[in-house]
Amino acid sequence: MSDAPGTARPTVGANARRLEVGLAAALREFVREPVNLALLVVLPPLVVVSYGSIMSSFPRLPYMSGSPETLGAVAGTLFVAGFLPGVIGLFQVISARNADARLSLAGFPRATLFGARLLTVLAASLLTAGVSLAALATRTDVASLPAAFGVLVLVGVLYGLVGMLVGTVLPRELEGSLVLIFLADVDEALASGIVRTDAAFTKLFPLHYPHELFGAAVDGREFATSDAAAAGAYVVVLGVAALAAYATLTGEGGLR
Amino acid sequence: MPNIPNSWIGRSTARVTADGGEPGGLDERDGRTSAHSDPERAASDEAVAAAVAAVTEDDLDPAESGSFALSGESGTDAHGRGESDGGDRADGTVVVTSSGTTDDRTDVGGEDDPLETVDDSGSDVDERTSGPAADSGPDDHSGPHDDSGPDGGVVLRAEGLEKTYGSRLPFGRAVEVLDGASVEIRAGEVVGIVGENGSGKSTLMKALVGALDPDAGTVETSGRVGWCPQEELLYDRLTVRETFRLFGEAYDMDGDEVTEARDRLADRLDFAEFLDYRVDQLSGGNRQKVNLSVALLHDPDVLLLDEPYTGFDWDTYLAFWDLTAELRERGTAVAIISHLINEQERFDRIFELADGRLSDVTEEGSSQASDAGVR
Amino acid sequence: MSSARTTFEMGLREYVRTPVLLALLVFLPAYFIAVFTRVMPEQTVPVAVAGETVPVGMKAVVAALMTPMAAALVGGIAGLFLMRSAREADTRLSIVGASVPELLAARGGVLTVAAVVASLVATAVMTVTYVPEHLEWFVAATVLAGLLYGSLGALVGLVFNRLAGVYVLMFGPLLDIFLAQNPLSTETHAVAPYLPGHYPTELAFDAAFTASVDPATLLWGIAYLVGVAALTGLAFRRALQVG
Repeated sequence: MSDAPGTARPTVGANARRLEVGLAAALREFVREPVNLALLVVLPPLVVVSYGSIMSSFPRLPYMSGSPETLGAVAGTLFVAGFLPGVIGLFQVISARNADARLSLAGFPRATLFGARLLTVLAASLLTAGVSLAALATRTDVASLPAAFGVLVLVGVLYGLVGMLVGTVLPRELEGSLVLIFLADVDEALASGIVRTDAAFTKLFPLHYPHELFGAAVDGREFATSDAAAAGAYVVVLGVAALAAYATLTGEGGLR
Repeated sequence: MPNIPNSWIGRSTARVTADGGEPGGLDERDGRTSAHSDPERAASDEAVAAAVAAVTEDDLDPAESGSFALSGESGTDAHGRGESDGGDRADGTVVVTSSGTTDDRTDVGGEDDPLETVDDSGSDVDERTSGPAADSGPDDHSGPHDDSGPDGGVVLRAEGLEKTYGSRLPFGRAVEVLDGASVEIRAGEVVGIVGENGSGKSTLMKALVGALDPDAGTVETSGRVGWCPQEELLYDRLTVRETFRLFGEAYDMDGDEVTEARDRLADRLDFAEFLDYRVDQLSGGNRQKVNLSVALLHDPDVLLLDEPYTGFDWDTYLAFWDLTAELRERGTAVAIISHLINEQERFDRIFELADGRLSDVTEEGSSQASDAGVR
Repeated sequence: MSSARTTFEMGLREYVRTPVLLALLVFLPAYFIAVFTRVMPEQTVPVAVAGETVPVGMKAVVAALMTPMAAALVGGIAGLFLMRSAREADTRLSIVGASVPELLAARGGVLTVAAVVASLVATAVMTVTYVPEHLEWFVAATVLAGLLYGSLGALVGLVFNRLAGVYVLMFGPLLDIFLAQNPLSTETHAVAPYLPGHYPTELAFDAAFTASVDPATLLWGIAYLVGVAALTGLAFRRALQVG
């Protein structure tokens, strides 16, 4: 008696082809819900502008690194560039979960499925980063646009992975959204620099270092190597965690 | 074991070589057709079947050594017996011996010769073949299964399946769904598994296809499994065509194979006009047809269906049973799990799932059928 | 109204049986408040409340601000998904004879329970740092925030889709309560009084830091809630018909 189907070792060529087909399918699934695309385009400018505007009522407190309005706009930019892909990652994983389980039983390697979903998140990150940066650039001078763009894409992938991880572990929309929103809001509020935070543990939140990097890009300063390394490390760790969770939990039911 | 054409019986022995390589599929090399099997398994039944299928009448009479015609007649409904080695080798070489007297065809060549007789003593010349020696005495039926009825080896075996859904809260109730369920499904059989709602049918199905790990017990399959779940687990916004492409990739079929299988199934089940519609635009019945076709795309050895009749209209129901008859002839096993089994004569065996166990009720009919007054 | 009561009970049971959700309802607000109160420095700031300016510790300020926000987030998500998941089932119920007000009452009831639970948990965690002067008014303010955003979440979910709803709830309360209603801002932004978080936050601060609470704030808040709920009800009815 032999193993279940799908346990043959695929060749590299076969895997690449599968990734391509899987990615095409994942993208199509996403794009064919028109509201999804509309949101990706409409929300970023909305958030950037409204956050900047509301913040303009704040006084410039001594710990603030820039004018409150700029701070608000920057915070909004990072927020939207990160959390739009985050929500997308969450819902991608949740909504396709049952069909993904069936596909993986049919022989599609789970890692490849994960890769296809992640690439979709990356595509969303690129789009959102572009739109939100464009919105920011109309309000503020951004000294280094490429660097700023890069940081925004990084943030998108980072929270996209968080979304995928949450969606894998908590494969229900209500629970997954709850967790993601709470995580996101705390992280963003602390990282934004709008409130003064001394506590060291705030550096543990995922957005902290990207915020530093983004500030550097806006001001035209050099990236601090330690910041960049930390941000990169987060992406790697989250990537591994998300992949591991996806590979083990898809098809097994997750937490109920 | 695959069906051996009747015409071979008493004629000769054909040695079909299944080489390691890409799983599934036929390859023509050096004018010789051989079938591939997974390098990590012995020559699988489908590989042997494919190679057998490639052999035609003419091939049994080797005018030229080493040449097979590419086209072959597959799926005859003759029954024969054969053996294969169960060894774990990269290229499983299978000796197919027909019962009855061997002809006086002798070995005309060396190892490359596709046809080779096996002498009466039963020992094989080629050391690559091992396993049970070929007994070619006239009345010796030494196949692994010699029951009457549809011939064939077991394609799916489940033993002692147990599954309990527990509650994590201390005061919750644990639901024992499967309690030692066992079943064997053989090639070419049509098996019905009937049980009332809540008897654990879906759990059993999921355990059989590998979607669920049971608490205890084993499930073994000897070939490809096709699963048609009750909820159509499909991607809503993909078109039917795209869905087949995606699942074809999963099954590791190449583009042409997918196209051919897809068109054949679309024709058979009559949904060819919907190929470019999105899954969520289809009616329930058409979605069910697509669901079924996805399970059949890779030509599985055993097809497991969970409540397949949902959304079937009469024509589709008939087409389904025609399809099942064809599958059966090709040696595919079909297992249907349902809460209701009509027309029990369509099934070779019927099991009833009750109290977490399966019992064979083929003879007496299922209890719920007799309750309902249905034969 | 018995079918409303039954629907309410069933809806409640469905959620009570998911231990993960219950755990989240407790853990997430607790985490939220705990992090912010931990992070804030000890210093005192002047805060304008009910016409006066009082000195308040930063930790207390952030606690008073974030507790209604936690309730808003929970309520919002609950409203969003309750409505969406209920809609299919409710269509069938309504065909069988349940009326729209009954269905709404039942769903609204479940939402209220979620908002109350979140409020109680968040307030409990808050009291570790600071105990509001008028605890019951404070809880009322928190529940109000939860219900307001609950109705909004339901509305957005019904009119657009759940993705849009999640986005609104991700960005909205943070913008509204954390920023627009933040007492640290010297001026009040023009739109701030019209945002959903306005009355709950004002009431919360009143209850937390002043001697007497002006009930008018609560009444205005309830009026706002009734308005939003009415819109949601209309959307719900339309959704049932379109099915």
